[in-house]
Amino acid sequence: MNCSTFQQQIWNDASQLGFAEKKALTEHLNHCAECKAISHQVEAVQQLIDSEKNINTDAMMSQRIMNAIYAEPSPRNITWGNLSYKLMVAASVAVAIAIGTSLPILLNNNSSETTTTMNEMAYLDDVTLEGLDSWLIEP
Amino acid sequence: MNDIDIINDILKGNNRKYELLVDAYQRQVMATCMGFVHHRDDAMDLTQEVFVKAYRALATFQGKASFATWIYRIAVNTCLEHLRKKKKKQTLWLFDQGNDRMEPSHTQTPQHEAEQNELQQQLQSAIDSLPENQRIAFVLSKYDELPQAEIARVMMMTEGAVESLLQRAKKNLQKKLSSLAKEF
Repeated sequence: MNCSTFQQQIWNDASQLGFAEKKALTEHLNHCAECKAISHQVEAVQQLIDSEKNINTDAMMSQRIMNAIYAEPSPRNITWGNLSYKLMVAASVAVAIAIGTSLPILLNNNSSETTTTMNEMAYLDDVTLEGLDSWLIEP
Repeated sequence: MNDIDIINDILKGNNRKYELLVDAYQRQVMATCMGFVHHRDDAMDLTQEVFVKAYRALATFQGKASFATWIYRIAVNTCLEHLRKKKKKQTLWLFDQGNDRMEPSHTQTPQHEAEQNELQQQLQSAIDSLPENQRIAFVLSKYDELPQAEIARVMMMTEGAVESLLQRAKKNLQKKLSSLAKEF
């Protein structure tokens, strides 16, 4: 095993290693200064974490939280009553947006669109006429 | 009575039942908050804020994830929000920092105590300087001792991504700590 493997073992809680792995790690730490230094660093970090996560909370902590909760209005359950109200509001907003975006298009007499439509009509007319011509000639 | 039954009771108006959830998850939420702020009073305030936020949003809890996963998410977001606000007031915060963080043990000599206190602050700073996602994964793994699968659910990512985040967090911490090697 190399230093990288040992360092991984150090970080991944060396106390959970098997007997043989633990022995190999201990022997390695006895002659590898770099891994030994890392082991000390990890130990210090773990000590800090243990001291912080096991800190005693205020004995009245639950009560303090519950006092804050009692000052709050009751959380509203999502019932059909308030859901339908919300849906109505959402639908009204959607309709307003749809009207707002489509109204200018409907009201605005856009000349370029008219031209295109006229051209399309002219093209269709030609095609129709050609078709009619051929129909008139062929029989 | 499971968490879902308790929540249903609360939503029917029995808000006293919320104390059952507070008692069940208070310790874990506090540990998460300590991992982010390293200060008892701040962590207690944040723990309270987390439970109030969860209570306000209780009607939106759909039970797709467990209540534990849901409240861890709220805890992480509340802590990150708190740190962002605090970062804005950093000048004032740095001025107060010496008194703010965890007090050292009183069983040692004043000099040793001061050294330990300084070391503790350096370790806290090393954890705090991790990139946000690495820090979240590290706190949930080390402070809350959550398995990678649960961290993945809290962070809404794959287990593989969490494993990668934890590896990078450890490497980054190691780099930062190597400069402190003389202190150990």
